Amino acid sequence: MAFSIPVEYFLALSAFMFCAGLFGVLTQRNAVRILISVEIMLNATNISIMAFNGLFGVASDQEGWVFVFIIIGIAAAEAAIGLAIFLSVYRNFGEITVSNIFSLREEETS
Amino acid sequence: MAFYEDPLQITFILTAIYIIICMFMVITVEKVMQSTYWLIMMLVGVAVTFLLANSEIIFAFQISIYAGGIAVLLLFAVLLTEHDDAPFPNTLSKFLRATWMQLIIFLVLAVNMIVLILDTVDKPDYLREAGGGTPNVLGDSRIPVYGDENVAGAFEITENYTLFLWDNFGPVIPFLGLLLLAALLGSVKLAIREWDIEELSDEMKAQILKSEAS
Repeated sequence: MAFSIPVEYFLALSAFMFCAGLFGVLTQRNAVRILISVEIMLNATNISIMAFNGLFGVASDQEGWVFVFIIIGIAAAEAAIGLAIFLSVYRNFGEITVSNIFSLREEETS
Repeated sequence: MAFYEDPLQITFILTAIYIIICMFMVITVEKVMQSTYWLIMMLVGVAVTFLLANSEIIFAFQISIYAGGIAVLLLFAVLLTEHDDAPFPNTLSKFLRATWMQLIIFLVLAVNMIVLILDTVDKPDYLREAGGGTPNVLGDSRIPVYGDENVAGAFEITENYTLFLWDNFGPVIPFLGLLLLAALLGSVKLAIREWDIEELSDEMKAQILKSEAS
């Protein structure tokens, strides 16, 4: 008997994870927490790519894996740059609460 | 087949519950450090879903790069900075007042996406696009990894993947290497600090003056 997992399980989990990550990005004020929420969203994307790869893979059923490979590499680069930016911001502002950092914000004209 | 008759589906559902609990803790737990630990546990759960989709090599990447490398970077980011621990207000009414709009976006988007997915995968057009069969190829590919009759399946899949990646997507590997090198150099440039000798302790100052003199 062949066991299998329906693709909609993967896709529903992925959609829920993506939305929860989006909720985290929209509500958190700490920059590290925002980066962590972005990681959750990236993982959700990876899961859905794996699911679609199972459905639509043509040449070797492994095209989707290449994209997951690239996304993992890009996430590593993003985390490294994020860490450096946080350190730089922390050194200049003494905190990394994004709502308190507004030196790029346009000054209000009254 | 009902889901409770299929050990693979039961495993997947348990993994999904584990991922969702960990994700909830990541977003709501008070200390940022604990949040990062929960993230590591969630990433391991995601790796298990990759394993259930028959891809050991991505499982290995996920564990080593995501749950290993990226998590350590995040831990360092937490250690080297200061945080006001408390992502959300303590009481439910204050929480709802502070985040009602985001909650609505989350609920509407999540329900919408999940209903849309469940609706779409049942359509005949979609089934035809997916190759005529039922869309449940995951965990049941042509080379079964965990079948009794083909124990070496995992090695075959990994070998196929590396050959496929190298033959068809060769430039991806140097591209990723260049990207990571650029990220490394950029983060060093961003994080490097011009220091002043006056900031150092007396001991260090004496050491540096001594080395300059000699």
